[in-house]
Parts: sequence; C-alpha cells; structure tokens
Amino acid sequence: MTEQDAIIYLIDDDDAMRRSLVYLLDSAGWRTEAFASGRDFLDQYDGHVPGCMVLDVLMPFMGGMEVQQVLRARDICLPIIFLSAHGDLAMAVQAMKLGAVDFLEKPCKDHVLLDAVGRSVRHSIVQCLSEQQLAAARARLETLTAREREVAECLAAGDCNKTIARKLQISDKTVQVHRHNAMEKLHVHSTAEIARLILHAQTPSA
Amino acid sequence: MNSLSPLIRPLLVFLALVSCAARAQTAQPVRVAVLADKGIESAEQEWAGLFDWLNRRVPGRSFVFVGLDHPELRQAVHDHSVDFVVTNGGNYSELEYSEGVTRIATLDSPLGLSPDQAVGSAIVTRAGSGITELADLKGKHLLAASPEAFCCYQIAARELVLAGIEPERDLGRLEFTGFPIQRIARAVQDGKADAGIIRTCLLEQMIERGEIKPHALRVLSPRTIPGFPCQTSSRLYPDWPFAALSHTAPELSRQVAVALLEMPRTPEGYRWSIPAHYAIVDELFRDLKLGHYANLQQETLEALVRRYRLELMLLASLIVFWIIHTVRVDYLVALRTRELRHMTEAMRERQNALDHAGRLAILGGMASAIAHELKQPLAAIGNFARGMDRRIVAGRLEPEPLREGCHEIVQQSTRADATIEKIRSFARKNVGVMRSVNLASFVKEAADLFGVAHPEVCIDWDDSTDPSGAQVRADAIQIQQVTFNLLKNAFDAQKAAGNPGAPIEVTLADMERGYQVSVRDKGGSLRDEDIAHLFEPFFTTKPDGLGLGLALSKGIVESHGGTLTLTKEAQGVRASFWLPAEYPHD
Repeated sequence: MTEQDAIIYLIDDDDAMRRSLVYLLDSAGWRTEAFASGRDFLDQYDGHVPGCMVLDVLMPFMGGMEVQQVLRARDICLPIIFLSAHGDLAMAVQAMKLGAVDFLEKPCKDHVLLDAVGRSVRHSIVQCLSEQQLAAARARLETLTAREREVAECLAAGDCNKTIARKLQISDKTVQVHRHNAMEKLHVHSTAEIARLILHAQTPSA
Repeated sequence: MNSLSPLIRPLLVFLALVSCAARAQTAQPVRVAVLADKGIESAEQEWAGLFDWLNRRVPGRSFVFVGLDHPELRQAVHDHSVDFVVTNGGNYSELEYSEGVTRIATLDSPLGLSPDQAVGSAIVTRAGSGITELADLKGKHLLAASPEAFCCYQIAARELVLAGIEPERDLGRLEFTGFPIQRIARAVQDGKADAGIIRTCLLEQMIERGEIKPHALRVLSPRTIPGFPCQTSSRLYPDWPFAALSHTAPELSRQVAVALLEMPRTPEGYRWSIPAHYAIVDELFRDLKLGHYANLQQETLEALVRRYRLELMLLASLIVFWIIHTVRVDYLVALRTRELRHMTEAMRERQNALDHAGRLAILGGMASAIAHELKQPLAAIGNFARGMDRRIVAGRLEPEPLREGCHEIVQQSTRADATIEKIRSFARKNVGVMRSVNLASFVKEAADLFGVAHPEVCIDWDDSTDPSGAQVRADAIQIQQVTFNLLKNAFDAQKAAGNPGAPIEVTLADMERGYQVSVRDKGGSLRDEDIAHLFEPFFTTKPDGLGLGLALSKGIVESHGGTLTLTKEAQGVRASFWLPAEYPHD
C-alpha cells in the first residue's frame, strides 16, 4: 500500500473551483475523483482507501460538516481537509474535534494544500496498514478451535505447558499438539509473538 | 294785497309802466353774429339791408352787425356775447348741438329750389379730363376753398366719402385755395388741377357772365333734381338760418322772426322764410365724422357718467372690491403654493435620503455576494497556474494538459470580467427609468442574486403566470430592490426562528388586472401591534435593523401604482406586492 494507491476525493459545488483543484492535484501527481456535492460523493464512494477528502465547508443542500458527520456514522475513515471561503474559527475548531486533518482558508497557497494532502494520505496509509494488520490478526485468531484459543491465551499469559495442562485438565501431550496447531494457524514462531498478536487484536479499532 | 289802500294801487301801476319804459330806453344793442369767412367788410355790405330792416321793424332795439370767422363765431356763441347768429347750415347744425341755438328763419335764395334745398356742391373737371365719376378722383389733384367751408367743401366731401374716396387719404392732392371760389373754376379750366369743388349754380352763373366758356367744364356725377336749374354733384342742403341763442329773450326772438318773415325780397331776390329742417346736415356730419360727431363719444360719455353716477359708483366700488379680492386671492394662492412646494421639496428630499440609505443597505448586503462571485474565478485561475507551473518544474511537458490549463485560465478571467461588468452596469443603471419589463424574469433574477449572497437560503420559486405575460411598466432595479428586501426580511425572520434553511416560497400569480409577487417565510410570527408600524421608517423588530426596508419598498411599489401588504400566516409572514399589468386583460 503506497501513495500511488491513494485517491483524493474533491467535493466543491463550484465547477471552476473543482476543475482547478483537480488540475492542481493532478499536476502534483495525485489521482483524483471530483464531486459537485456531498451527496453525490456519499452515493458513489465505494470505500476505497487510502486517500483523503478535500471538502468545501459552504455548499448548498449539504455542507462539509454534514458530510463529515455522515462519514463518521458510516465508519469511513478518510482524512478530511476542509476548505472555507470564510475563515470561521468556531467552525474550524468543531471540524478538528470531529477528526478533520486540516482546515484551510480559500484561496490557499498550492503548497499548503498539497502538503496537507500528502500528510493526510500518509496518515491514511498508516491507518490502513494498522487496520489491515489488526484485521489479519483477528482473522487468524478466528481460525483457532476453542481449545487451541484457550491454549494460545494461556501461552500469551506466560504459562508453561504443565501449568496449561493442569488448568485445562488435559494431558501435556494434548497441550503440545494444540500449541503446535495454534502456532501453525497464527503464522508465529514463538510464544512472544502469540502474546503480541492477541494483545493487538484485543485493542479497540481506531 | 287786499290790505293795500285804494290810493296806492294806481301808483304801483304807474311805477310799473315807468320802469318798463326805462328798461326799453336803456336796452342794450342786439348783437347779431354773422359768419364772415369771405371777409368782414364784404359781409357787412352784403347783409346791410337786413340790419336796416331789423332796426326799422323792431322798435326800441338796435341790431349790431358782428362779423366773425368760424373760430370767433364759435367762441362768441359759447360766451353768449351775441344774441343771434347768422351762419351757414353746417355751422348752425354744429351750434345747435353744442350751444343750443335755435333757428327762427331760413334764407330763401333765388338760386335754391326751396329754403330746405338750396345749397349744393358741384365738382367740376375739364371737359376732356377723362374723369367722369367721383370715384375716378382717386389719386387726382382736387381744389377746394377751405376745409371749414360747409359749402362747398364739406358737402362735396360727403359725396366723395359715400363714393368710397376718403379725401385726406385717397386723393393725390387736396389743395385749399381760399375764397373766392371762382378762382377754383378758372384754375380747373386752366388745367392747374384735375378737378375743383364749387358751389352749385356758380358754374352756370359764370358761363352766363362769360367768365367761363360753355362746355369747358363738366360737373362730375351730376344729379337730377326736378325743378332745380343747376347741375350738382351733391344732394341739396338748407340755406343759411337766422338763429337765436339760448339766453336770448323769447319775446325778442319772436319779434325778430316776425320782422324777418315780413322782410320783402332783396333786389337780388333773397328773403327770409320759415325755419328749414337741418336734419340732413346732421347726416352729413355723421358721415364725415365732423362737428358734434367728432366729439360725440366724449359728450355721450360725460352725459352717461352724469346720468348713471350712482350706478357707476356702485359698479366702481364693486370693481375695486373685486380687484382687491382677486389680488388677495392671488396672494394667498401664491403663498400656499409656495408653502406646498416647500413641503413637497422637503418630502422629496427625505424620500431621496431614504432611497439612498436603502440602496446603501442593499449594496452592503450584496458586497459579500459580489466578493464571492469574484473570489471563485480568481482562486481557480491561481490553481490552474500553479498546477501548470508544477508540471513544467516536474518536466511533465505533455502539451494537452498545459493547453487545458491555459484554456481554463482564459475562461475564468472572462468569467471574472463578466462579473465585474455586471456589477458596473448594476451600479450605472438609472434609477427611476420606467420601462416595459417582464416581472417574472427580474424577480427571479433578484431571487437568484439573493441566493448567491446567502448560500444557505432555499427559495421555492413558483410562477403560475402565462410564460409570455407578466409584463409591467416598472423600474426594474427598484422592483428588484423590493424583492431583495422582502427576501431579506423572510430570511432574517427564519434565521431568528432558528430555521434558516426552510424553503422560502416566492410565487408570482395573475391577480386583478395585474400581477402579485408573494414572499412567504416560515419564521416567527408578528405581533399585531407591530404590524401597524411595520411600514413606518426607522421602525424595526430586528436587533440590527435600520427599519427602512419596508418603508422604502412600500414607497417604491406605490410609486409604480401598486400595493404592498403583509399578512400573518399560521407560521411566519406573507409579504406581497401587486403591480398593475401593462396590458390588462379581463
């Protein structure tokens, strides 16, 4: 997953403004998709990541802030750069609280916008990668049988084979078989790795 | 008298008789004025026989000859310095009117037909002159004795006037030779003039005496008067009268009249006859506008003034009152007109100030819209230019995207230019120019403009009129100003009520030979006591309002012959203005 995979979603109701931003971002080497309204974007967005949104605060029918709220509700974690013609401090603070990456005043310097886009995309990638790792860990944990899971959790807690056998009231031999199968399924080579994976999977998602 | 003693009575009778005799002996001489315009001595000789007769026939009185010319005679009669006057018919007629002299006898001349028809004029010309009628005298040289001579200038002049020739104006030359008039006949015969005015019968007398060759002279426009032996150009007038003045004692007049009538013919054949009628002389004066007719108007006016003095005074005071009244009314009208003008001027100034303030407020409201309209293309241009710059720096020199960038920059600069031009033309537009305009299109334009200035506003536009219709005579800018005002009120009301995004309904509909534009908001309701004041200038329910919008809007709509109304709805307010259709259809 690299910056090449990122798509910049541009939402601005002014045609000329939209086209010029597309041109600028394209000139800087970004892939873009442009929409005239927040609703158009919400209807057509397929969940692609990584990327970021450049969103006009003041738009008829559905303002930038509303789009942000809908995205949060749908659990879509695209970073948002707000553009505002009227530098409204209160609005900026609220947007940032809701997780906007940046709040820029129009017209902004091109490098300011491009820096913000780059930063947002990198943020998106990192976020995506960690999300992917988490998902993979959880998926691998899902493949374990109940007994294998119990054994793995005990290993992660630092128990030795004998202690596990006594806790689960099974034979040492059986513990060894489960331990072997779990490490195979989780693609790990040490009990330390098992511990890290389970710990990671238990953290709440971002 | 009955108490007087019989002795005294004879004494009184005696005394009376004595006094009578004494009065007769000391009686003043009777002065008889005689017109002597041909010379006093010749006149005195001429009339000597008459005076002898009178002195003989009227006992105890002596008659004195007083020879006078025209002005002297007039003065003497006026001053009553004479008792009788002997003059020609013309002069007599004049004196009869002005001084009240009364004829007691008229001369009976052997030349005349009768005392009534004795004097006339003959206008003579040379036999071969080519002049045959009086009218032919136009532009000719005419001779006469004297302008004051009744016979024969005035008599002839009347005939000339009646023939259409005004002597003073139409004759080539009018020359007065003085007396004797024989010299006129001779002058005409000698060709010294085209024609001459002489007494009738003079021509015949001169021919008889051999003073003029027969047929050498010819009488113009001769009249035939049966029994009259001479040729005449004029009608005949009465001969000289003997007249008494108004102060002359009637008894003396009677005695003189009797003496005159009893006078035997003179050797020349003259005698006195009963008084003739001088009415014809009066007609002559009227035609010539001479004598008392010259100052008739003046006399009449004086008489009128004397007769109607009371009425005239009443009339005069009425006129004076009327003049005073008129002057007063004029003054008051001028005064009130001036006051009214001052008032209307003050009102107009106030209205102008309001208009100005209102326009400023609207311009202020539009400033953000204008800024937004310009900011967008400028920002876009910046983006395109920076994008192109980045491509060049990165060495991405494919021509297509670079050309696209250039093209976009051009397009956006054109857009900015158009916006600036729009603002300029808006600012330039003359306020107060009424033109035929489509109400729908410019109300919609105002709504769009409002939408640009306030992006969060939502306007529901509904036009139920005939698409070709909604034609009104209006100042588009002013009506847009009104629409803008109503929208702003609606939007402000909704903002204050916490629902700025609620749709504002703007409808245009046919109504009563006109069109109605309604703006309905979903804002708060109005209080009844506020509604009454909403149209007053500087009344406002908004915390930051000027209170001018509705007052101005109402003024504008009414100046277009329309009406502006506000009605409370279940939620919010409906503001409507109605304008008359340019082509009303029933």
